[in-house]
Amino acid sequence: MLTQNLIRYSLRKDRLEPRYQDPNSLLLLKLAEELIQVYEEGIGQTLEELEEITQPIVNGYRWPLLAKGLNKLLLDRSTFRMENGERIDFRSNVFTLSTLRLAQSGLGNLEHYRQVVAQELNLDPDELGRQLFADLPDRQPLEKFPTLSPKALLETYNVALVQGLLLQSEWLELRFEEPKIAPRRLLFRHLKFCRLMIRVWPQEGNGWRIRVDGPLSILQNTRKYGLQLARLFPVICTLSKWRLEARLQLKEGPITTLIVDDSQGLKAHNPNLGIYIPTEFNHFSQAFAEQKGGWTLLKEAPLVKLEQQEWCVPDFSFQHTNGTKVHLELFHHWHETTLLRRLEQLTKNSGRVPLAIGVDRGLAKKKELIQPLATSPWFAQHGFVFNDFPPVKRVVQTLDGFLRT
Amino acid sequence: MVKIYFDQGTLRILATPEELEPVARYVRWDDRHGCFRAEGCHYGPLVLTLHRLSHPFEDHAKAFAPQRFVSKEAITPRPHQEAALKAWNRGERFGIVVLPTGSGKSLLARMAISLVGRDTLILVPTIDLMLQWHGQLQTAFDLPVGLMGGGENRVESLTVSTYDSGYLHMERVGNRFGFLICDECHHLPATTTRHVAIMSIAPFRLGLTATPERADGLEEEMFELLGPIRYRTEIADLEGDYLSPYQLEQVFVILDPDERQAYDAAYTHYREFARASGVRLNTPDGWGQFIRICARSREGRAAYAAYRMQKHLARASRAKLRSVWKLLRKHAGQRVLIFTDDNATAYTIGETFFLPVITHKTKLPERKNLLDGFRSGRFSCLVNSRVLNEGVDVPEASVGIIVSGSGSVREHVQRLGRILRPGKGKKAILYELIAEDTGETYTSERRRQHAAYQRLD
Repeated sequence: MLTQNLIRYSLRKDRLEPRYQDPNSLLLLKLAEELIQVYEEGIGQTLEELEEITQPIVNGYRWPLLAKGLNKLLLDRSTFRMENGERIDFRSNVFTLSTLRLAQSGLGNLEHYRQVVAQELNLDPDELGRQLFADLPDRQPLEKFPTLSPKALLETYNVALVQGLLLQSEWLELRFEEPKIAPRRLLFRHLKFCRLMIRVWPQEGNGWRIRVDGPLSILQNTRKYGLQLARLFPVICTLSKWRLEARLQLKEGPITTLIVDDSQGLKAHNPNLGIYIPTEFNHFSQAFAEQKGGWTLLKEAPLVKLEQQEWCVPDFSFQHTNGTKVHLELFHHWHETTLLRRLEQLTKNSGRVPLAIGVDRGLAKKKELIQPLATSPWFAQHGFVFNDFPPVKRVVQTLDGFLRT
Repeated sequence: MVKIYFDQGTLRILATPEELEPVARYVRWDDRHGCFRAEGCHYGPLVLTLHRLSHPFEDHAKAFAPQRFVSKEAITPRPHQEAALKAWNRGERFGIVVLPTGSGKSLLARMAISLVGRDTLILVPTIDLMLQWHGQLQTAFDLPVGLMGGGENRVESLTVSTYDSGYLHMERVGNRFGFLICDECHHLPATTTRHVAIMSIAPFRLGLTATPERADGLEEEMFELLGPIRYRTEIADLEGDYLSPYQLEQVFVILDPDERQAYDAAYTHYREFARASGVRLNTPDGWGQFIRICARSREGRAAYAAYRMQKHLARASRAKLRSVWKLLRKHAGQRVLIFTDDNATAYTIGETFFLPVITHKTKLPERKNLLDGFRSGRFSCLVNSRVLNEGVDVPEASVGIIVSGSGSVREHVQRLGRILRPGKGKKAILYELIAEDTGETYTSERRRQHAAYQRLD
């Protein structure tokens, strides 16, 4: 992601316009290629050395800020060696020695003192100075650089420009049309994962309008959720047709609006969606397919409306041979608040939503949840506790419960 | 019946508007979840109001409990600590205490922790301070003390966290503590940091600082989140009795002829460029304008390079290094703290004199090792670039050398504070090295605008 000082934008009236770069511009492709080459050929060179090589390229470019931004994105992809800490002991010995010598009288001048300390370590004073802090991050060699094409770098830069601005945003409103369930589901799962809050207004056809912010947002204008909103952006880029509007304030400047849509052709490369999908999900799907009951695991779980603005993104959806559909939502240790709210909603709307809930045993043992779970009639009838991941047998038992009601 | 839940740093409240009328100013309807919502920090006044009106409510938000924190050793507070605790206690245990560095703010905090007897979170600005508080609390109360920061994330009844980690975790743990202590609380009003106090439901709050005033005038926000100043005393009130007597000495150094020539050339270069570009550097936005103009052209970038060059020469000239050597010899055997304004100068000094250096790049275990080594006397000198400016307790240090610094009064007062911890027969001395006839003369004048420096030695 680009830091605020690297973001190029124009301000027209109260509207912010990121200075997108043409990913097909020959001049820019040449710059991107030169920078990528430095890193491709830079394995083994230190960060300090790489900076020395990139500095003339960056500063010599007509718009150094743009070049710096590209360079930052390349640095973000790079992995430098981490020292194993052996030098810490060496340093500690040097400092103990220097303390002893500094306490002595008749030490002479600085050169003499340096000679005395270095000699005891069988080193030349200048060499000792060089070795002393050689494990500083700037002095570590580049170990890995997953390369990319110059065009992909420029496309990543354009996405990063928007992300950099969204870091300062208070909320965003997204209108989108998405006929496919998978990208829509990915968006809503990501919203849940980031613990962002939404107001949803389904539009005609496959259209949606959602406003995204966080719990504090209705109480104050806050940039607290800017990071989560910025992380959401690559996911938005995967939608078919969309338009985003965000309100933001850069430093202490005026309140401004950012509008981005699919017409800019923004493309996120390998978006880090930040969602951890455990391998158990696939194991569960396989095991479920082998069970002999009347239930089938649906390929795509739809979004389920619970009440007013509350939507649920089930982890799995099932259909029985008699046509009954049931969804399953799993709650892990970080879902305490969501689970409490879900128990309230399900009790209130008893019978209206076919939603089974599975609760991680660790979460169920939390003192704040013991009583709500014990007294929830919905959980007693349609819920279960699991370790690590729910066993198929237990899930089928819970699903069968819906057939009886 | 009013039901109150904690939800990611806020309070989710299920009630009718009529039931919430007495606390209406704290709550707002949230159509996203069909509930009322309030900031976590309003938990105290909200619950207290409902309680005083005998309004029935269910509190599902609070996850903190009464605790018995008994100090292992009897505490004999000094008069100013006793007076501060009384004043804060009278102020509904909600307010700020202003005490000079070295006058025992952490002891006052320990007394307050025992008095309040609730799960407590202590917020500090740096990892070094976090480690220091952790060690002190563990020794004082003989309890496992939690840590949030520097790669640690362990919550206990007594937990110490950096402001940065608090910001990341408060959505999750904001209801776990009934007492919030903000050390060096002048940091709180920053854009992100203030959320730590907003998202905490702790009704009892204590802010500690030596320098509450902020250049941006955001103190009011600090008072809103932590309460007003309940007690204040200054260095001059405690010097001699409870703080070490001290001496200040400015050491003017003369650049070597070649460095002088390079300095003058670089200085003239960037000033000329600024003048020709119509930038007045002495105006509030002058510096920002200069940077923006520099980025636009090759000449500008050369001017910026010249600016950096003259700054480097003033900060870390050979003449300064010779002065450091003289002072190290003069104070051989004493514990010396060396302050710089930037990492590069700190490492130059470390490499020249083979001395330990702490910067923000130093990892947690080594920081601890270096600080412990300095306190125990295994290392007699410690070089740092700003990271030890605040709070870190090094009572053994009696000599401070400011090799370079900013014009900030707060930074200067805090650096002085590092060497003022009292000790038997101790007289602290703070040297300020200034490259003569450079921009540093003006910087030094600016940072000395504090009562602690307005004296003749």
